[in-house]
Amino acid sequence: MSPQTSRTSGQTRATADEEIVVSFHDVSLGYDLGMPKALSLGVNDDDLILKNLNFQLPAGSFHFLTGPSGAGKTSLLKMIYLAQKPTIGTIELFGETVRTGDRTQTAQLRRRFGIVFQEFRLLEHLNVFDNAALPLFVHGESFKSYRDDVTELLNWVGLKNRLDAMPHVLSGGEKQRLAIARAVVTRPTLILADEPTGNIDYAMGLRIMRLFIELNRLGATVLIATHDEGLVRASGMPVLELANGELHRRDLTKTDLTRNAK
Amino acid sequence: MIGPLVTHLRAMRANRLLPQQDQREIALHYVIGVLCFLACMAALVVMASDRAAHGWSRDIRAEVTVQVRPTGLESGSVAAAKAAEVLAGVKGVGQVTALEPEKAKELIKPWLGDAIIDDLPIPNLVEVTLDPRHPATPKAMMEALENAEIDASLDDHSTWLKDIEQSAMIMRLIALSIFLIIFSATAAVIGFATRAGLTARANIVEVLSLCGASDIFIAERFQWRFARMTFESGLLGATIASGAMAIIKTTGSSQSFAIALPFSWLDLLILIPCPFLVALIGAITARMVTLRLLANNV
Repeated sequence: MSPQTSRTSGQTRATADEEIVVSFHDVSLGYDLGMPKALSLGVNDDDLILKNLNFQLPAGSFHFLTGPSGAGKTSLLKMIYLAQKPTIGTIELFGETVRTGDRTQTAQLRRRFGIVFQEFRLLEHLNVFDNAALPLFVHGESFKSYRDDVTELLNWVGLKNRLDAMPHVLSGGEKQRLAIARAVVTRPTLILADEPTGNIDYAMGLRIMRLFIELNRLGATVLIATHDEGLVRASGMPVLELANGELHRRDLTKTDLTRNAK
Repeated sequence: MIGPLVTHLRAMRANRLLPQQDQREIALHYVIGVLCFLACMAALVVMASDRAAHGWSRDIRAEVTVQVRPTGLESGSVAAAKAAEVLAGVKGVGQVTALEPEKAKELIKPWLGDAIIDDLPIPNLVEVTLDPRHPATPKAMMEALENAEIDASLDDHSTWLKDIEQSAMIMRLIALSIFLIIFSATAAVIGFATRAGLTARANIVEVLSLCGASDIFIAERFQWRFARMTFESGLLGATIASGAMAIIKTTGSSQSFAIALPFSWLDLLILIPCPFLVALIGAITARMVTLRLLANNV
């Protein structure tokens, strides 16, 4: 299946449901454990931050990832966006088994992600427009081809008057929205967000959640790590909960998950 | 609505992806500039010494010494004078002087002293200066002497020539090694700087990488940055080297330094490729180091 099919909505949506975007097989993560040591000596359960995770995110699904601070939400996201390799287990993305150390595969897979980092990770020496356009630029697209799209997107997230501003003059909420704009500018198949409402007030948080839900409606698979229970409840989307290194599904509405479970 | 907003936006230039200039880079400019200056001076000195060696060997090649052995009752000086006459008639021969016995004695004196000099058979020498453009061959001169029935041997200084050519070759080899050493030092400095630059900008590199930038894309950013920087430093080094050469050439014409190293303005042409060469080394090193460091990442 081509990557475009899951992006376009409508008739292809039905087939997209059968496509698995993220798939974890017996994935465990422990720090300070070299791969060989972990394999040869066996891994002590107490050393593991994440234990034996098995889950799948179908194309077009929307999930929250919750759990107390330090439960490993960021580590789990990092494994998905290939910044952290699992100690044990295999990960499949878009049907491809992730090969650790294959930098070309990593770059190619990442081009289908949009990532919103907890600490934004904006480039301080580039203005708002260039920060938002960064992924397109990195993928080798021309300024002419993306100028209007990026401007429109920044307009949509309410930064149309700040195109020339440098990140250090932006407020927390503006940085957050810029980070989101950069994450979605390539119309990614998979959107990962780490505490995207952590630095903003409730009203802005709701607005941003609506933005993610809108992107999900347009076909993107979304996984949002948050400890903001209020927002999770308000949105009524299914939840993956991390506790003691284990992952549990929690149905709030039953709608989405039961459909995905089929 | 959007139109006027975006008119003042300019395309992001690739070299802006890495932030500009910091203190470390000024020091790097300086070091590379100095290295390039040294390389340029080495090149100029080689050109000049090569020219000097050429000059000497040309002078030596233009002279031949003939030793005449008198036959029968002829006195040595008469035989030498006769040989000089014969040689002057050969095509391609310039000035011919029979060396007088007194002068020959003077030449030997410093080695042998006064004591034995009277008993010593002094060789009868003829100095021949050749036409530098069409020098007479040793063979032609020997034939002329044989035809005149003069017993003589001819020294065309080929032993000396070999020595001079050998030292010129050694000079070139030394210069080449200086070049290689300087360029490897340049590569090492660039490698070090790339490593430092990559570490200092690890954050940016990681963001680029997380945005889906390939290692080659990132390596190219560093490659162009260092190519540009080393080119500028190289240009500076080459300019200062040409200035130094101009000073030596214009002020030192009466001094021995300038005579030993006869610079020519045309030598400056050899400095033109220098900044490009340094830039090439900078680009290749930065690219390779970046690729290797990125490959070691997770």
